[in-house]
Amino acid sequence: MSLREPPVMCMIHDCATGETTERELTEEEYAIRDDMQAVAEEQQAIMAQKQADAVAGRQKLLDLGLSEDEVTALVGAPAPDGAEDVENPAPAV
Amino acid sequence: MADQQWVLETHLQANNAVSSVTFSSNNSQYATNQAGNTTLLDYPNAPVFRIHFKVQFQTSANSLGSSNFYFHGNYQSSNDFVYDYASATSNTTMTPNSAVGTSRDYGYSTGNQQLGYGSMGSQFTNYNWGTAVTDLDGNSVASTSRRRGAWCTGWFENHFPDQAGYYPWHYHLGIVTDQQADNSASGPTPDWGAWCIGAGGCSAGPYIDTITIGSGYNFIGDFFLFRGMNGNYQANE
Repeated sequence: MSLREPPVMCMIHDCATGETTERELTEEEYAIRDDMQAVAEEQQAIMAQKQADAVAGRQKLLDLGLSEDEVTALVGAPAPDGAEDVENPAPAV
Repeated sequence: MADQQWVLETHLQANNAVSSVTFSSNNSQYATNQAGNTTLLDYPNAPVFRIHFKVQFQTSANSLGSSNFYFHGNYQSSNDFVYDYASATSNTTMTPNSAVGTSRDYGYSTGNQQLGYGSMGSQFTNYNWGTAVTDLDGNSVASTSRRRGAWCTGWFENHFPDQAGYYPWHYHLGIVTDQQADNSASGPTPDWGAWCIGAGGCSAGPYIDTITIGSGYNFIGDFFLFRGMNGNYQANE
């Protein structure tokens, strides 16, 4: 019987014997995995917030009257959303 | 072929999604030269560990957390690391036509070496694009096929220093797509991929007889464990 559904598996290869086994995580391994996943979700949220802050902050500078070049000189180039795909350019409209 | 220094110790293929892969008894295998003599792949004879890999994370998350991709030797404690990265969706994003800086992450006395910001989900938001396509051999490839997912490729390397308290790691990995990862309505190929390069070590003990690579997301992939020896002890076919 699995500890969780669906079970989370791990793979272990013994270099001395050449044998590879797959098994479900133990309770302890599940706990470690849960802890790391919780940390990762916090990290992902922080990264998303940083991205949103960068966009909002840049816009505020533009709203103050600075030019694009001036804002870029201060805080660097904007995130490259909208960069043209040179191999597959958007069709003319 | 002449005897050589490098040994492919093992190839581990994870076709079924798993959350970790572990190489154990790394120092108990033997290399064989053309004359049939054997040499144990222990630390003094084979001090360099190198793992080449390709992996697909079974998630549509565009950016992984740093701890979503990690590895460690025998100890899940006293690991230090630092790496420079361009992530998949942050303002360090690169596109085929431009790149905007990098950022960095680090940890001190943590459970493992972490590098998740240097990768992304292989089933990124927009990967299920269109309908089935036909490959060059005439086979139909479904929109959700693993063949349409993005591969993260890279390597970890360790030179065992034969001292009591510390062993170093170096690593480099990258992932790209041919689509925008974040499904944004903006240009055709923003948020194109991610990469990182980093280094670290562990002061909990000198042993790396076991190496584990893991993620909070299940993954598939291939892992090649090479050993660099201090002499030409191996006949590679």
